[in-house]
Amino acid sequence: MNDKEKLFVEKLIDASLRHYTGAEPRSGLEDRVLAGVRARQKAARRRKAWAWAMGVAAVAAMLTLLVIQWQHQQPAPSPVTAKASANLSAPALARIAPPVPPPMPHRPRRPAAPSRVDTRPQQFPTPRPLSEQEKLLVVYAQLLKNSSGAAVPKADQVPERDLEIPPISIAAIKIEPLAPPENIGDEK
Amino acid sequence: MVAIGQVILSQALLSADAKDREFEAAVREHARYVYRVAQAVLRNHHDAEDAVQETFLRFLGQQRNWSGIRNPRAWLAKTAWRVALDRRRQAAAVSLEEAAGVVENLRAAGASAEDIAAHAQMLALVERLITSLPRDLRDPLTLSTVEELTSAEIGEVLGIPEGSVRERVSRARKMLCEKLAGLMEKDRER
Repeated sequence: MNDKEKLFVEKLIDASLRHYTGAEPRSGLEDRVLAGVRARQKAARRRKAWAWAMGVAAVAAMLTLLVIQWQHQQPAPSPVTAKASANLSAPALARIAPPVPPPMPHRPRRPAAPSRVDTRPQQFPTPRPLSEQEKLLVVYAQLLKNSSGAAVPKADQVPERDLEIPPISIAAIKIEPLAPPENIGDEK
Repeated sequence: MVAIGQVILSQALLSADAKDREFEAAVREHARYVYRVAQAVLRNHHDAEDAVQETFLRFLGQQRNWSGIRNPRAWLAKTAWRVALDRRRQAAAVSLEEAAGVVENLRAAGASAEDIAAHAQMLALVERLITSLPRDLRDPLTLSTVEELTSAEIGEVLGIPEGSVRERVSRARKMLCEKLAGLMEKDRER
């Protein structure tokens, strides 16, 4: 290759390298880049906010579950612990006291249900009106009373008398002697 | 207390607004330069624009360290270079012999070196020849095609001394010339 050829190739390479990145970007490149970057930034922020919200919600749900579980497992204070807590000072109690659950939303109170009235009768059995037979019996007793004065003595007015029990005679038991076993051997 | 809070909030908003304006100014000042760096590697408008966007997104991510970036221009070039390398695709397969034949025909027709260089076939041929160079020569040569980049900045991007950049670019050009001359000679022999 002669010098002329070499020179041409060198010129060609230089010119080609100048053209290599000479292409100009389309107009409005800066605006497109700014818009694209801001849109991607906004999307990233939204994703971040979502992740935070989900995290907070998960933590809140776990805390609620823990509080509910703790409330269910809380045993009734024994007299000993009640006495011990009574002896503790207020700061000490605050240290060991479990976190107070958030106050429940206010609800209007329902009117108190009327207390049960004890409708049971004072007397047992319950007095009832007399039946027809009882009424007839009462009339008969009145009539009998009127006719014979003290015809029907009251149970508590019956005079007490000594009960006479005749002596009991029981015959003596006689036991006959058993016959000697004479014929036992003969039978054999 | 409320007043202090308002002052802090307003200062934070002002600071955010100032940073936003600073970012916009940086985009307007350096977008084309960053584009050329990306374009030198990617050789495609769409890919180059995507790389520019990615580069500025990374720049925005470094917002807190902006004061620590000594040379934003070099920082942007370095980031764009890395982003573009990550996105680089295989160069289009071009028949070297065919491309050399087109160049020879153009030359025979009396076209100047400048005219031939503007031809699409010639650009494809140069791209293919650059791709065939060893990496330590290819990278400085590719970056040297971006007019705005100085040897010092190329050195900063590649992490090599400025003198090495000059020496490698020179060697790369020489190698390109030899390869092209060889192709053209082969074509003439045929």
